[in-house]
Amino acid sequence: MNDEIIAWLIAVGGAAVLLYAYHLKLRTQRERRLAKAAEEFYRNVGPLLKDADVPLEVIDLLSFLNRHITNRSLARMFLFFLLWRRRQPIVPPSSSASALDEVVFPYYMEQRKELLEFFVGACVAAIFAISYQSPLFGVLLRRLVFFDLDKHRDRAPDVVASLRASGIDDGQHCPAPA
Amino acid sequence: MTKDNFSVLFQLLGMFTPGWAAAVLILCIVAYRSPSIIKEVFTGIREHAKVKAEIAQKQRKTEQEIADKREQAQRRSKKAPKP
Repeated sequence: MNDEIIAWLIAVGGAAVLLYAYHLKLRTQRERRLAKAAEEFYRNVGPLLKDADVPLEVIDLLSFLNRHITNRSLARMFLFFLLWRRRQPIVPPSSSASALDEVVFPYYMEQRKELLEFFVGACVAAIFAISYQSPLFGVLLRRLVFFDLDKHRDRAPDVVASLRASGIDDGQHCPAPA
Repeated sequence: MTKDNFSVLFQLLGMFTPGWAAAVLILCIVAYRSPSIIKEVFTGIREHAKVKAEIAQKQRKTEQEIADKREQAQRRSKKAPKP
């Protein structure tokens, strides 16, 4: 009986070693993607900070993203917020939706169109980097929320139609829904 | 591995109790995979430290740039007349 317990302990120990090695492999892959996304974020932030008239709201947003790019719990908070609209106290008041609508978006969409790509690139790269910090919630976030709608236009014609109506999509990539 | 090899393997495992059969099988897999396991462990540790250090360095540099920029923006907003 004692021998059998020792045998099962050895088997469980061996299985734990195999699982740990697999976990490390996945973690290394995730960290390489995180490094790539972070590099993309910092590459895009450079031109935004060189802009002499950059609004304070943009600086606050970039500072927030820069501070939380290594935050392991933000992916979970994003997911819960997007699924249940549960607001978290972590978001600074100056980065509110009204500040984005009134200051940030008009600045990049009307005044500094040449920096719009860098701004969107920085935000997207930061959100992806944050999603790579969490092994479970990050996967869910990317699978459920951050997928390319263009590739699924036949599955979501109503969403594509509403995006086109709102002016977010210019209609070049998405055909009219059936 | 051919069908005969598998039958020899199952005969060998049949000589042990279920616990020992599982232990022997898993130990064989661990021994067979040990070079890649060792490689994964060292690569994982090295990559983790490298990525952490790289991001921390860029984070500090950007935070400094952001602080300078915020100071400039605050000075500018104080100078600009309010409508």
